[in-house]
Amino acid sequence: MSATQSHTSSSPDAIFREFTAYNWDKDQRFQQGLQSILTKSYDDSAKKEEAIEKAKCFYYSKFFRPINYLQYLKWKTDQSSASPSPDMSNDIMPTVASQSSTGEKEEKNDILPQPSEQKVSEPQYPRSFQELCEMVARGEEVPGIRTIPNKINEAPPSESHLAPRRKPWETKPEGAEGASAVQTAD
Amino acid sequence: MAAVMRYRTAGYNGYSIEYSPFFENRIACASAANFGIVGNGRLWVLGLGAGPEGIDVEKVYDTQDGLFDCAWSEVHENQIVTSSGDGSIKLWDVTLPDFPVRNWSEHTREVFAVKWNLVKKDTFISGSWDQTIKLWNPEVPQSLTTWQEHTHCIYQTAWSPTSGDIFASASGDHTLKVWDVRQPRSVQTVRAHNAEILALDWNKYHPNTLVTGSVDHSVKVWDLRFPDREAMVLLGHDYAVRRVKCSPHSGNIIASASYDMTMRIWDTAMGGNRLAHVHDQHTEFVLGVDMSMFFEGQVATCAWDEQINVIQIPGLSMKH
Repeated sequence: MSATQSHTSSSPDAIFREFTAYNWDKDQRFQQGLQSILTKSYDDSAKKEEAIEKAKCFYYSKFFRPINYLQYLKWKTDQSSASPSPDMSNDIMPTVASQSSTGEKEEKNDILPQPSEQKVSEPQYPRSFQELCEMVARGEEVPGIRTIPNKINEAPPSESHLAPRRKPWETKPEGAEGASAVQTAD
Repeated sequence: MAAVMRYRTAGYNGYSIEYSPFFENRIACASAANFGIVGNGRLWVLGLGAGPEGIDVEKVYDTQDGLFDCAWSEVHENQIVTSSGDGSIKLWDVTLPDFPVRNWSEHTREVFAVKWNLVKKDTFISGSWDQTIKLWNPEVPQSLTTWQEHTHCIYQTAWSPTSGDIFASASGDHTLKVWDVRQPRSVQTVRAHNAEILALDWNKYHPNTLVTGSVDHSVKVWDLRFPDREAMVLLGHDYAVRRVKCSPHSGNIIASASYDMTMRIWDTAMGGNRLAHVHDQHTEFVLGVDMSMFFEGQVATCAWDEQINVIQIPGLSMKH
């Protein structure tokens, strides 16, 4: 099956495109493995994203075609910074073993793509908030939700024994209405 | 200044915090797991002045969906009403465990606001994303009245502190509306912001004065007799203002909670920017704030950082 199919005919660009287009959500085998990754705790969402990407590369390499994580990252960075060009990564062959042919390519390998699409006026939501939104959007089950019976207490409610306490403003004499304008101190 | 009293609502993000009108050391917090996106809700009943950090849990109640607001009964010292993401409204008796004593399921979307009538103390109102406001009596299984006039989500409601028939509502449709429970339509509409209005409260000492807070980062003070223009704009929050409260002790003190992770105290009698205090110890959005009716200057906050803080604001003036 696909694990044995030849990949010599595809360009690296095509392979990376195929890799990114792969329907991960529908692959139950991958999703099962992903659960163990998602349940681990990470310092931040970038670390978690990195773990997921690495897992995808490993999985894809094992079952479909070899994908080198670092070269994939470089390809992704190039994709987001430049207009797509079919020739741009001709010299990079995606392989399991790292075989970067030129030193100049190395420098970008450490840089995780961090698109700064966040609008300045938008508050920065907590990272796990965004992860949750993405999980919900992908239709994934969020762990830890309990079923609470929708029932009414069978015991009778308690009797009230206390009279309502007077509010601080209720001690004020009547007739404050006339002086109700907001003080404009300027 | 006394140390901050703290409590961690572990696993739950705070949405609303309310002091009991009967017991000076009791507060309640409505919260939701997973930031209210999906999952359970929890109502916390907490005692002040106890526990290792000054606040200890007395009761917790779990719900299927996130809880977004709560309001203590003004007539029954043991009862509190909550509003939920699934549209339900539940009445709890804190002497009983586990389950509510009443449940109403009329709203079809998230209910962000529930407020007990401060004068006619046998009713409360709810405001929902389904664009309706409903009036309830805890003894009646259906709502007493439903109003539909806003054209976007209703985020907050507030009762007049002096008239048991008058309340106000704030909406994503950029308007503040004033209602009389005896009228089928609103009695006044104020286009209060050029953005969604998330927060609203009624001044306790000036019957014509309301305060709004908006996605536009501003807090505005309104005199309903001059609705064409706000009486005051309070600027300082860096992001949306999620809740405002008017002091129970002073007509010129306002508290506001914001997505900028701060709670701010404003003194409208001050000059300059009127900013009297900034509480910046939360590390996520601050969604709930309330001021103690019994200890002037004591303020409680809850936030998405799963933290409840109770602080004493030093030196608040007392001009009524």
